[in-house]
Order: sequence, then C-alpha cells, then structure tokens
Amino acid sequence: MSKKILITRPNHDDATRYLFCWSKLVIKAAVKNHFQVFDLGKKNAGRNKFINCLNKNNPKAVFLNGHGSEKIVSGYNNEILVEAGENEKVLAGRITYARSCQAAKILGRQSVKKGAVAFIGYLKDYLLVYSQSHRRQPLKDKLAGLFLSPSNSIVISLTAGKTVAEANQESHRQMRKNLSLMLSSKASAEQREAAPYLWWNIKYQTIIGDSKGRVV
Amino acid sequence: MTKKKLPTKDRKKEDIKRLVIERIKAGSRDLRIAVGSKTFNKTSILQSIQKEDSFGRQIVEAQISYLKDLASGKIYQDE
Repeated sequence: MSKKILITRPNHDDATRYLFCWSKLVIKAAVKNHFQVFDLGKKNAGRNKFINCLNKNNPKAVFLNGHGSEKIVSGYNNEILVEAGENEKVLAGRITYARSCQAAKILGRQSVKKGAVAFIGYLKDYLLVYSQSHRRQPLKDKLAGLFLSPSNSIVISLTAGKTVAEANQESHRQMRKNLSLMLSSKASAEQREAAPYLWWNIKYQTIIGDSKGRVV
Repeated sequence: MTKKKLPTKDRKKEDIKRLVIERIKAGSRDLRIAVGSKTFNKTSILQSIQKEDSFGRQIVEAQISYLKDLASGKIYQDE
C-alpha cells in the first residue's frame, strides 16, 4: 500500500484549470520521491474511475482537487467523488488532502470516523486569487502561486515522509511567509489586495484525525 | 424631510459594508477570486457585496477579520 498516491485533477473551469496545472508540480515531486502516481486528470476524474483506482491500487495518499462543500468533494464536471454518509469509507486507511471548499467540516470528520487515518482540508471555502491576464498560463501566474504553492507543499511533504502535522505546518509556514511578503513594501498592489484571502485560507486549513500519520 | 436614523447595529453594518466596498473599488481590474465553481471580478464582487448574497457576505467577513487580525497583531504572531 505504501509509495502510491492517487491524484484527481479535473479541469472544467478556470478554478479547476489552475488546480490541474499546479498539481503537475506535485506529481513531479511524488515521482521524484519514488511514488507510483495514479493521475486522474481531466475527464478521468470521474466517480467510477476514482473508486476503481482506489480499490485496485490501494494508495495510502489521496490528493483531491475540485469543488466541494461540507459533505462532498467532486471531480470532472462536478460529479461527486466522495460524499459523507454515502461512500466516505473509501478513504479508510488513507491520508487525504482535499484542495476544495469546506470538506473538512463534515466529510473530513465522517471519513476519519469511518477509518481514514487523516484528512487535511478547509473548514470554510478555499479561496484562490489569480490574475486574469495569466489565466491561459496558470503556472506563470505568480499571484495564484502565493496560494497554490503552499497548498502543494502539503502533498510534497507527505510524499517526502513527513507526518500529517509536519506537512500542515510546512504549508502554514509557506502561507505566512507569502503573507509577510504581501504585507511588505515590496508587494505589488495586487499582492496586497489578495492578502485577506490568503489569511482566510490560513485560518481555515485544518487537520482531522491522526496528525502523526505518514504515507510512507 | 428629515432622514430616518438607522439603529446603531444597522449603522455599523452599513459602515462596514461601505468600508469593504471602498477597498474593493480601489483594487485591480485584473484580479479574480475563485470560490467553488464561480469566479468573481471587481464588478461582480461589488455587486455581491451590494446585494449581500452569500459570496458578498463572505468577502465582507474575510476583509473584516483580516483588518481586525492585522490591527491586533494576530497576523504577525507565530502559530
């Protein structure tokens, strides 16, 4: 079960396109850390493929990118992949990071109750600020990078052998470092303007479950 | 005709709303905020705040908690 990670990354709108592109960096890091990566990108981020991949390959690490709410995380075209009270058991024995809105609140708690090792996510909406002039090239969008790079670091840290708590701490450290830049005189007007929303993510990113858990 | 005075609570809420609107108005036209499947630009952010819909209320909450935490120094504290 070790050294395997499943990543869902739909790309059906602007927000998911950013998550899709920035997740490439996580895939590269996971491969470098000798992980077998099951990459459910674009249309492959559907419910059947997600469930089949979990059952067949049994990855200990799961990285979900997509829209969410308190009870769900969705995939391509907002098809529900995992839902509290429905199929949260599929996360049992695993460590999940959901880069989606609100899912830590109920889905995270329920999945841990049903045997998940840990769930990292957000108690409120995940806010992503980006620059319209870069939307065709998300990886070149430095404003979005202030948000997405620290969240990537959660999974990169996990695949490097860090605990759930250490991965979360590293992400918080990077977000705070970015926030310091955004509050400084070196910041651009756009960076300063985006600061309240990064602070929001810092406040609501949380761990449910075993903070000492590891994926390797 | 004299203008009817709002109760203090409502006045405070209106003041906060005005403050956030002015902050957003002063911002960039290039910036977008993605929340769930929706993306907001400066105009739609301002409309949401004016209408007090769920996104508008969230923006006001984010801005005000940020300003409070900035003023109290919480933002600069280590966790």
